[in-house]
Amino acid sequence: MIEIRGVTKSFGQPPTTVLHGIDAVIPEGSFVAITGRSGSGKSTLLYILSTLDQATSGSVLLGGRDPEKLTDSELHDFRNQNIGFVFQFHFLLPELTALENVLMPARKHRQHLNSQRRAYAMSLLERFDLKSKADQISTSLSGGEQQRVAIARALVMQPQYLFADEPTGNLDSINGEIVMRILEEASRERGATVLYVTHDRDFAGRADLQIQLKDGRIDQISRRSIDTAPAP
Amino acid sequence: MFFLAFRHLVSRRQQTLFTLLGVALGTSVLIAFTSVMTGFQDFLIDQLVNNDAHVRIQVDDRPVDPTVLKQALWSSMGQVVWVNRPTSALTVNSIRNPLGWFEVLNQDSRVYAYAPQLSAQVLYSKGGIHQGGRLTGIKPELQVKVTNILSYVTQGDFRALAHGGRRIVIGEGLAQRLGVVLGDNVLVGTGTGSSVPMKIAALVKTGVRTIDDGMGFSLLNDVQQIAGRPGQVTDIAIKLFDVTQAQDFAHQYAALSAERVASWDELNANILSVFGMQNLIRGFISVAIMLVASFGIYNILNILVNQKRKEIGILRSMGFTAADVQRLFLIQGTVLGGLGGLLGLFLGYLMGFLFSLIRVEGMVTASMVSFSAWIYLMGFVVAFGSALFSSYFPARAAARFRPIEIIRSGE
Repeated sequence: MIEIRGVTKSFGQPPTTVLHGIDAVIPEGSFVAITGRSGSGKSTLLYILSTLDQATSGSVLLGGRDPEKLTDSELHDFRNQNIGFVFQFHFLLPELTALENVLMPARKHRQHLNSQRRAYAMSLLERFDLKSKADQISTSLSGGEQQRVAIARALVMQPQYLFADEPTGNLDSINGEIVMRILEEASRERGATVLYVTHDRDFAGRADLQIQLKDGRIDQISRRSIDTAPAP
Repeated sequence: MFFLAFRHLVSRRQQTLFTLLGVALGTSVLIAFTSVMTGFQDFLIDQLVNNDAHVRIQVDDRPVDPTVLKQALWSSMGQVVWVNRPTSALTVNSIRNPLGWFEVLNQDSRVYAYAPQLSAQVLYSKGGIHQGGRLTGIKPELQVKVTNILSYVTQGDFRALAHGGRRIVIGEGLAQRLGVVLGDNVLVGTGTGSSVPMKIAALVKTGVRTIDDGMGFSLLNDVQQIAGRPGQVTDIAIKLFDVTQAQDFAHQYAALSAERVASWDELNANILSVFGMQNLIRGFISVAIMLVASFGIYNILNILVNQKRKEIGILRSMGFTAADVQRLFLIQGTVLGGLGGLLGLFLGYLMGFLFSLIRVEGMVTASMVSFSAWIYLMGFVVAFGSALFSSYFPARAAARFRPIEIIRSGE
């Protein structure tokens, strides 16, 4: 469960407040879309929830734990073990192959040598239809393939939380659909709590929970019955 | 982080190769330069230490200071007018009690051997040719223990001096000037009395022109006779078991005696001070060479850090710490420094070896290039240290990037 308690975020001097006391509770395993116009604070909220940024005031609890109370080393370990990121730009390491990119988070604690972890990485690539390209340098892959490698990388540590910032923003509709299906699978089959920022109404409509922001405040939270959710 | 650092280096082969070559060349020049300089210095020090005595007892010819004399004798008087100013010329120009010295030296366990000598200015003559020089009276069996003179004998038998019969050993240069060869006679005189014929028993060549062109050795008794100074010695040359004790040994006896007792390094202080200056210049040049190589590493890593901002951001988002990111770039710097340093050691050895092959007239070049392990160790440590130092700043800058700023900027 993710508990968001009165999260406010201000930037600059004099301070400009982009998030005004956000409160929400996101159940474990939810598939959540954060929507809103540009500048509404969607990405800022996502980065705070994903521990990459800190709230000016308020707190976030991830599975009951407050990341701000962790030491720097504990926070990095927490991020490594529990959080996966997918960005609009894939941010793959260009020197590495697809498989090496996927296994990169596992290198932090030398888990890339673990045969189970390697097998899991390969199974992700296979699932994402990239098995034959596992040993190709990432720059030789297409945009859609690179984004799928980035998602596999985000999932390789089997994180409890997966955050995606406009993951389909740079993709055509076919690749966008593939990516959305993979994110849904992560939530529905693997039980991860997935939060994604999107401008696409169709993609937003597939979420269990939609948090719509307007001018840094929650404008609307809409829930959808699991029964009506589209089949994965 | 080794894995990623290695991939960074391999993916930029050309940059990596040129940076490696920069470090390697800097290191090799540093090593070759130090090898030649150190080899030259070691050679000269070896000559100074082994060719002559470690400690020498000599007549003290320090100039007399009139103010010290006035203070000691007429301190109550306001002004002293000298009729004849005091000079350094001593009435006694030989060691006052050589037998006393011999007794003391015989009892000192640090002394390996000692050799009394009498040195005199003489005139060598053959036919109508005259050549000024010095003649040193020695005891051959003792002289060979305190100096390396035997290794410089090019013709004849140095030890034959001991057979008596007015024999002499002279430098090759002097022999050439006089037009004499081994077995010939030369006339030796002090200029005040009659000259004495002496038979050439051996020729020596030390490589030092002032010695080879004017130096002669003969039996101590013969020289005392020629110089009209029976029983006198002007020097006692001492060889110690341990050359590093020379200074302490000299200071101990200097404090107790009226003679000048000086160690080899005090006697050659001017040469050693030149070495000091050489070492200083070598230090400056070494720093300059390695600075250039270091700038290469700094520059390349600085560019790389800025090129890799987004990768740094994503690494941080995966849970890699600032220290991990710093390590990523430090590893690259140290790999460049380490590999460049190792390549530099090899190139430096090669350069030193080539230098040692160069033959210069009158010089023993091979022995003047040092291949001492410490030079190579120093070269590697300097290369590695410079690389570590120059990569520290870009690495620290990389570690200071805030991942959120990089990700937000979408670079």
